[in-house]
Order: sequence, then C-alpha cells, then structure tokens
Amino acid sequence: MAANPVKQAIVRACTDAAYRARLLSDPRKALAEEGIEVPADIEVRVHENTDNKIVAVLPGPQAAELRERTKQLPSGPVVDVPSGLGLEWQQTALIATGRIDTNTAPALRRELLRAFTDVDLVLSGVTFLSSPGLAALLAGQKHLATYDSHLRLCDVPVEIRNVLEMVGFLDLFEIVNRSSLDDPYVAALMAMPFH
Amino acid sequence: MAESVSFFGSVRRFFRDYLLVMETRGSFGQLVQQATEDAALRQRLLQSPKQVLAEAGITLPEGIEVEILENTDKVIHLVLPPLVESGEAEGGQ
Repeated sequence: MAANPVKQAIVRACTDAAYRARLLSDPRKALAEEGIEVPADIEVRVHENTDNKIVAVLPGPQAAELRERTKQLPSGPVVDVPSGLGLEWQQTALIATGRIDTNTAPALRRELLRAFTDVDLVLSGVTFLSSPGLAALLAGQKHLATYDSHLRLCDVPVEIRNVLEMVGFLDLFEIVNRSSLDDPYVAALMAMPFH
Repeated sequence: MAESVSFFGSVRRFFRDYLLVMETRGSFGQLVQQATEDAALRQRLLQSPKQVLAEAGITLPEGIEVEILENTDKVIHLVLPPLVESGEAEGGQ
C-alpha cells in the first residue's frame, strides 16, 4: 500500500514546480492526480509561505476525531500475552517485541481487533514472524478498514520485511520508519520556519 | 486489497503524522499540540498569533507576518513547505 496520498501530494509539490503551481491554482484537480477524491462539499485551500508571511494550520475536526479514537485504545503493557511476545500500547502505537508465532499470534490479533483507529504496529523488536502472525496482521487490517482506518507497519527489521515481501504483503500495508515517518516529508517540514 | 482511498481517512492520517512530527519539533509544535486541546488558546492563537507566540517565547524577525488557519468540517487547509531544488531534498536538515 502506497504512502498517504495527501502526504505524497505535498512532498511532490516540494520538488515538482509545475505540480506545485497546479496544486495552488486548482487543488481539487491536482489532488485527483494523486488519487485523492475530494468530496464535493469540502473545500481544500492550499497555501505557501512567502518571504514575509508564515502560514500554519491547526488541525480541526481531524485532531478531535483522532483524540476521541485514541481515547478508546488501551494503554500500557498488555498483560495477557503468552511468553515469547511482549505487546505494549502507546497511544495509537502498538509496540511488539519478540516472536509472533502460533503461540503468540492470537494475542496480537486480539489486540488489533480492539482498535477502532489508525494503528502503528512497531515491529523493530520482533525477531520472528510466521504464518499465524501474517494472518493476525491481515485480520487487523480488515477490521480497521471497516472504520476507515489503516494498520501501518513501522520500523520493520529487514528479515521481517523479507517475509512480508515474499508473501506479497508489501502491497497490503503501508510500511514506514517511525523515527523519520517519511523522510522527504519530514525534510520538507524541517525546512519550515520555527523548526 | 483493492480499496478506495478515503479522503477523510487520508486527511486524518496526514494530520496525525503532522502532529507526531510537530510534537518533537520544539516550542511551536507544542503550542499547536496544546491548541488542539485548549479551545481558549486556540481562539487566541487564531486571533492574535504574534502575541500568543511571543508569550510562548517564540519571537520572529520584524516584518514577518504570521497567519494561523484552522480546519473545519468544510474547509481543509494545506500548507506547502518550500520548493526544494532537485538534489537538495535529501539534505533538508
């Protein structure tokens, strides 16, 4: 699954001057180029900073919705997990450590099915992932899709990434490095004033 | 998995990452974070941004204007970071 199309459009506008001009003059049409269909009753306004003006946005209902959905999530280490795997909720991130195998995959699945919002599953500490684990990821993704949400896989070790690639899962999940989220985007944000 | 991309889901995820990045990016990021929770601060930030920034210890060079916008149910604002010349995009830090 490709990265967030809204983010992609913004990153593209940082390097592609022609696209930037289209995005500024006709946001709806330019966003459609990146596969984003803006609902008819929504207006998108695109701004850029100038030499003497800085523009910043406060997320509105999006932030409120995110907060509400995050509140419904559990918090802290998950107690009821078979030995071999550790799971901990940190806001919308679920940190996994250890082995995701026949024994432990049901606990991962159970935790993912508790969520109703976008979840970042952090896999940096995972050393083993087999078929039942893959099934749990898939179940989580399907469950979240019914809430217009995604399961995103973060900080995936190369061995685990190879497994995902071989079974064709790379198309089903967005995979990001959480510390840098999405490098070109963060690089662009860093270039903004205040940072 | 052939699924259509939801506009609202994409926008929500975009601002989630925006807030995640902002959280780690110093005083202005923290102010934005606070303003998502504190309605009074939000109003003041919208009405007199420069003053609220100054109170938070964020001063700007003279001659720089600040405009703070807020998303609503009907209007989504996106701000473009500066255009980077090709080859420079990697070295933004």
